[in-house]
Amino acid sequence: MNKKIIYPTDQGVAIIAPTPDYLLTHTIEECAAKDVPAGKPYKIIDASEIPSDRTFRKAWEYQE
Amino acid sequence: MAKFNTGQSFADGDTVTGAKLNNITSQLNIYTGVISEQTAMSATVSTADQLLIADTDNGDSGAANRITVQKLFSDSLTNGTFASVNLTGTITSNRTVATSATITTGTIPNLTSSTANITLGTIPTLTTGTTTSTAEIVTSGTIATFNSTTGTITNLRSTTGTIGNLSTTLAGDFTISQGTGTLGTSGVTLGTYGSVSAIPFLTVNAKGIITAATTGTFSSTPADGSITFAKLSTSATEADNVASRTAKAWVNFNGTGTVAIQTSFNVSSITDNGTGDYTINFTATLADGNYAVFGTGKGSGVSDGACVWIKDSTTPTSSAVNILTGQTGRAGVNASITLDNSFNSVLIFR
Repeated sequence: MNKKIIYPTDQGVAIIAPTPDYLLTHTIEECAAKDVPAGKPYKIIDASEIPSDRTFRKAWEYQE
Repeated sequence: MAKFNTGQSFADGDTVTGAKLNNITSQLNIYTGVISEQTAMSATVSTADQLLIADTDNGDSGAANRITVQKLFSDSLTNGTFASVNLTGTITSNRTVATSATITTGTIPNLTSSTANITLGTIPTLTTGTTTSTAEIVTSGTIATFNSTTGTITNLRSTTGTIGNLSTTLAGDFTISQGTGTLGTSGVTLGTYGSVSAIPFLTVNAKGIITAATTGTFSSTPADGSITFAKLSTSATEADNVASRTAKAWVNFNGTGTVAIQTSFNVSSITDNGTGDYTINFTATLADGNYAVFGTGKGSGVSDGACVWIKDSTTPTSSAVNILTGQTGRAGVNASITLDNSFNSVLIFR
């Protein structure tokens, strides 16, 4: 499964894509713990849930 | 009463002739009574006391000669041989034994000599220690052959001399035979171990003895995976600092659509902050944020300036750097435009 991490930002939502190399030795949860800014809520979602049309990228919102 | 015994006698009225008188003196015998009836000598005999003696071997006429006790014993003990003499008492002064003399039995309680050698023979029991004296020390001289078949030499020491031709059996790896010490073999085959293409493997025991020796193949080419980053030089001198010449992190990714990371090193993830706005997160943190960032890209339908640059409002940190991709602007001409490039490369050197 191609997983991504999302968390809210002032501009909308940020999407973290772990590198394949990192996932060879770490879990995506460990990636989230390290790369999501402290205190930010986040979710691990499937990449297919992310819109492919980035025309209105700044308009994307994070939903709990 | 002392008396003379002669072969000459006189009958009554006999004639005394000169020949008969000569018979009396020439055939005179002195009987023990002559001596026993003398007054016994009560004083101690001194060396100066005198005796009468007939000096027969010099062809004397037979007249008695006087001689002192001193001369009597001195001459006779010097010149004569006495097969059996029983002596008691103590000899209080030094005596020299002639080189031809043999001591066949008896006890020498304390033999002290600065020059004498015992060159031949056997001392059946040489006792030292508390039985006969506190210690016997050979201070000089030579013991030509010292044999002990049943005894024990508890402490053999020589502080100034040399013990030559010593043969003994020692416990352990060392033997001494005829004055030559020999270290026991360790089981290692005599030879040379190691060469330009073989390295020696040696096993050494606690005594420093090599107990096993083999060789292994040596290759001047390092094995795969043996040269790690930690083994690279980090010297402060430019000539040796190999570590500073290697990239600390790099990544290649497609920013169009959902970020797709192609290849990377020391990058844990890329955060998609928005169009053409990405944060490169490092797996292992760098020393600080003062690193060199190089980036290039390939646009998606944009013919002019598919660039990668550090986001103005951010500061690189030891754990991440925020970059922008797209088209940089020129002051007074056009503004920068962030775009999702299809091909982005970012390299970090520190």
